[in-house]
Amino acid sequence: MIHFLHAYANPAHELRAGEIAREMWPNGNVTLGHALLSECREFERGVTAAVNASVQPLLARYVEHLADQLAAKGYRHEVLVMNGNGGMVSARYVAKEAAKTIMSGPASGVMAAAYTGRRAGISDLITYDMGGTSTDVALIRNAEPAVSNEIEIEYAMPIHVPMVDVRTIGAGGGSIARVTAAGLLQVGPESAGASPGPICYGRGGLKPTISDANLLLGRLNPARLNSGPGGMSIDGIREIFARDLGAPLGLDAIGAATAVLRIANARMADAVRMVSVSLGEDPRDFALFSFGGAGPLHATSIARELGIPRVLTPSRPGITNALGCVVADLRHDFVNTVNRQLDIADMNAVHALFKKQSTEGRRLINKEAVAIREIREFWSVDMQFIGQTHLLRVPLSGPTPTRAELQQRFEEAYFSRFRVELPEIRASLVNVNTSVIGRRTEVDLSILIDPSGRKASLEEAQTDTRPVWFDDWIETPIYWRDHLPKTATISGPAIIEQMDTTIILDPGDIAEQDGDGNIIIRIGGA
Amino acid sequence: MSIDPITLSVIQSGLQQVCDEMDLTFSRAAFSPVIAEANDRSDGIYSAEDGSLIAQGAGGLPVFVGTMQYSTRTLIEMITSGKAAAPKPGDIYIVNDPYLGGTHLMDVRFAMPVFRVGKIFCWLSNTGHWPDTGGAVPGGFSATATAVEQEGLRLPPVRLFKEGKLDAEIYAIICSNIRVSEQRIGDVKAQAAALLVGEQRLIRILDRYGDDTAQEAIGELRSRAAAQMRANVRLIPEGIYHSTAYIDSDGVVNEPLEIRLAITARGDELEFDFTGSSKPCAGPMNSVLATTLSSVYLAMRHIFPDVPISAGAFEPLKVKTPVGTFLDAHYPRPVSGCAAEVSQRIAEAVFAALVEALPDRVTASPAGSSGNFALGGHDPDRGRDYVMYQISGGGYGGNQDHDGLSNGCSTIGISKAPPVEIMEQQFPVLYHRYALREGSGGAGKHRGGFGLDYEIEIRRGNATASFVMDHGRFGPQGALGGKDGMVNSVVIWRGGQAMIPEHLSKAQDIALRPGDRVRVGTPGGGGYGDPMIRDPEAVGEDVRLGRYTNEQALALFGVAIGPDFTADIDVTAKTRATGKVA
Repeated sequence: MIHFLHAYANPAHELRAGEIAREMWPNGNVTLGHALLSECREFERGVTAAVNASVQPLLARYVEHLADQLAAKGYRHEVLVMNGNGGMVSARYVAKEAAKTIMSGPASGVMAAAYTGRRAGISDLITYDMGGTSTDVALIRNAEPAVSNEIEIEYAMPIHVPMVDVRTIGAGGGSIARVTAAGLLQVGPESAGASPGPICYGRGGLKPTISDANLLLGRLNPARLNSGPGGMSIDGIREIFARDLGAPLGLDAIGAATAVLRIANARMADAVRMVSVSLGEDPRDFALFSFGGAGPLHATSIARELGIPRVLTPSRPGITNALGCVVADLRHDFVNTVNRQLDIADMNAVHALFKKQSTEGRRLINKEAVAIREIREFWSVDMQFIGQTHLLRVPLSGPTPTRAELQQRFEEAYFSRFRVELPEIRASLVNVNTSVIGRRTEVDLSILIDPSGRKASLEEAQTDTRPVWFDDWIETPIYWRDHLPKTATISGPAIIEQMDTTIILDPGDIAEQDGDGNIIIRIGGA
Repeated sequence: MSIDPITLSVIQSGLQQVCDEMDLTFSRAAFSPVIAEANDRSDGIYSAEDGSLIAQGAGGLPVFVGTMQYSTRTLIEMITSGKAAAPKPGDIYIVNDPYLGGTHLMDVRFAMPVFRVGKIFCWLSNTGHWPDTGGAVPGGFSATATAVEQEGLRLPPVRLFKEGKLDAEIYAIICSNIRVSEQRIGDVKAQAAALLVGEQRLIRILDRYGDDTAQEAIGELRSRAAAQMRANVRLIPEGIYHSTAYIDSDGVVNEPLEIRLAITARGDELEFDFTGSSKPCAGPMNSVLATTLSSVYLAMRHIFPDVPISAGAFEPLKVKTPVGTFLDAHYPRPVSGCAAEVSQRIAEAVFAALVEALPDRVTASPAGSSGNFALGGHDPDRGRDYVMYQISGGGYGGNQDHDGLSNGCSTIGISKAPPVEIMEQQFPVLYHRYALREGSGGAGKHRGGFGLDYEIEIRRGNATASFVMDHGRFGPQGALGGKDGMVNSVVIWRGGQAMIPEHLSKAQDIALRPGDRVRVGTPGGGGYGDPMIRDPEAVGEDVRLGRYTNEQALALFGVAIGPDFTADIDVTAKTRATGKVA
């Protein structure tokens, strides 16, 4: 990695140093600081370049190996790789800008959600992906996930490349519940992880977790309890809840398990609200898209807590992230810094920048040799009031905005975010951005559940009943998802089980399916 | 207790969320980089009766942990006694008077009552560091001020917003008395918007759980926080723990100021007695009582971070008012150094006193200075005046398990250092060096972290430099046999001649010309434990990374390092056994 001060403005020395390095060490793994991110701030640019330099050789080797193996088995098409911005790029180019693949796993799930939502006619979504140790949350507006350039990854490392804005909360099925010295019940952020895992995994875990609470309350199927060697019976789990949590709180085991879920749900709901608020949105305007192994178990409770009216659970919540790679479009993002007071910015130069970004994006997509239906472009600017350091992204309707339009759209965006009007202060145009997107052919999601497996009636799809705790024990019908008739209406309380997740309907909730087989739950039947 | 423990937990996290959202709104909407980038601000909820702290944002500046409850309390008292106007819904008070429960003038507090059915349910308040409030020098840190009037405009609590509307007349008075006033309207609106967002969210909680339940929960949370702090205090064996800490000088009289602290641990309470500390000083290194108390609280919070921030957490901590010392300054003593420097020295005194009693929780002393360096001048190329601030981190103290962090933010702050690329673009300066300060970490079994070493050259125009730093005379204290961290250093090169400020870490208005340079080394952290038992391999790794020289490794740690950076076991053993360098 070669990283010089101010190379974002004048890279001559950095380029020359790069040449010298390649003469001494001839290979493709030299990253220049300005190449990936040509913006001011040495720490952010340097961290981005350093991450790129350390990931690039690994990714190059991996992608090469994968392509060889596929070719050997007769695969004749292009290999695509997902980037953190939720777009696909050809494997031929991906390693060079390896840092752009960071966070592509969670981004992929969000892309699948956006796609699924668009087909379902629900284009404003909050994604809620709850796994074993953490929960990922993202916001989708008009079927477009929020993408940000200023995301910190682990260890507070700022990687300034465009990434789908996915926020991670330290709460998952394995989050541990404990009673603090002040006598307050706390859930997470410590997690039992996969090993030893929750008590119910039977891998030696002895600390009560969210998954264990779900099991005690009948929300998870006790018959699927994994009692391997060193495993624990449900009575054993009940004893631990009574002893570790119930006794100090003056509750029995069931009371303690209910409390664990209540606290966990309240915390996750707060975090979901915080994500939407920090992006200037009210969660009640969205539907909750629940996936991940544990998402659908908690989604209706979270939605209730936040006043979210609908929950959408796709056909295969456990493989949603993989689905993202199948449905996501080709995407290239461009940022150019202008940094001029809006009053005196050269609007012709701004229009020329948009044009240049668009041309470059189309050129790259054409080079990728992948079948696409159409090319779409999204334009935005980053603006601020003069004197501010934070930027506000302002979406535009076209690549030739007038000065007055920029001023007006910025003022509107600022007011909707902060409820503040500042006629006293002039605005500044900082960045000009274009995203060029090559839309791929439509994928029919209804094939994800085999239509021939569906039964004729709801009764036939029901596998069992079991007592489940909803403020009291209620004998609750259990359905098998793949057997549900497409036209069925299911009223809560009910549980829908499938290979990869368990869906809970609280009393009063009503679920139906759409053409793609998504389950759409109306909270309280609303 | 009638409230169930689960509702209690939910309300607790709800109140926390209210404060966090206020913090977020304030930072994102603010103009002043001190608030927007350095997060020099804090938001909280305070009781209607006496202003005691109910909850505070997790991302707030630590030194504000205790101060706003005193400013809110003073405001309530002034309203009750008719010295301040009674509030109506939508009113927001502004106040920055240090002697009314504050810090220094630049920390401007807003306070807004939250009404429920015609009665005040609680107060929301926030503090933001304004880049300027007038006074002798831009930015307000006058190292040579001898009265508060020289430090800036002092506002008693007045209603800047009346029933939701900005009072243009009061605002005009403020703008006429501060520098770069055009941009302050943005900060004023951001600071008010944060309170309004908080009010909205708080009312949602009150509507949902009911005012009585929320009130009961607040009382219960307070007593639980107190119980938790008491449980922590009981970990400290009964007895009296002494310490001293020194401030280089007050900036006017070149003599050290002494903080003497005796902490008495008795049962589940701690008493902090500063008797014998220096008298009020002529220069700006005085502390007002609210800041002194807050410094004790933040030090205890560094030690016991698990106790939720609420007035209850402070109940078992009894601080004897340090009457007649510089830690209880009254009008018109200058106070600009209290929040940034004196507070950190008070925290150091607390750490130094308690490290023996709590060796697994307390570290050796951190750098403990905000490292304020202000450069003001004229840039002829751009035809305009400028004021540049460089704040810096320093080394943290070693602890029982690890070496101290290098170039960490101050004990009372959470600020990030400004990027060199931004500084060089905005100001006519060139950085010749910006590096870890080699050799600065105090030696110890676990050494202190390293400070920062930077050197700036003035490229164009004349300028004046001012410094408000500390630890130039005495380094951050080592603990349990560890050595002190390296002292702060300021060297000014004028016309090729090196000059060291008379007060070492403090100076004002030093005239500079193009080509002149300023070099600053910030303190290293104190070492923890005997350096002669430090793992020789760790010493070798430090030498390999250029953090200590071979000579330092031998002299400070008794470790002889070979050519491939491995320790020579025999020589090391001999040196360590005899205490003499072989």
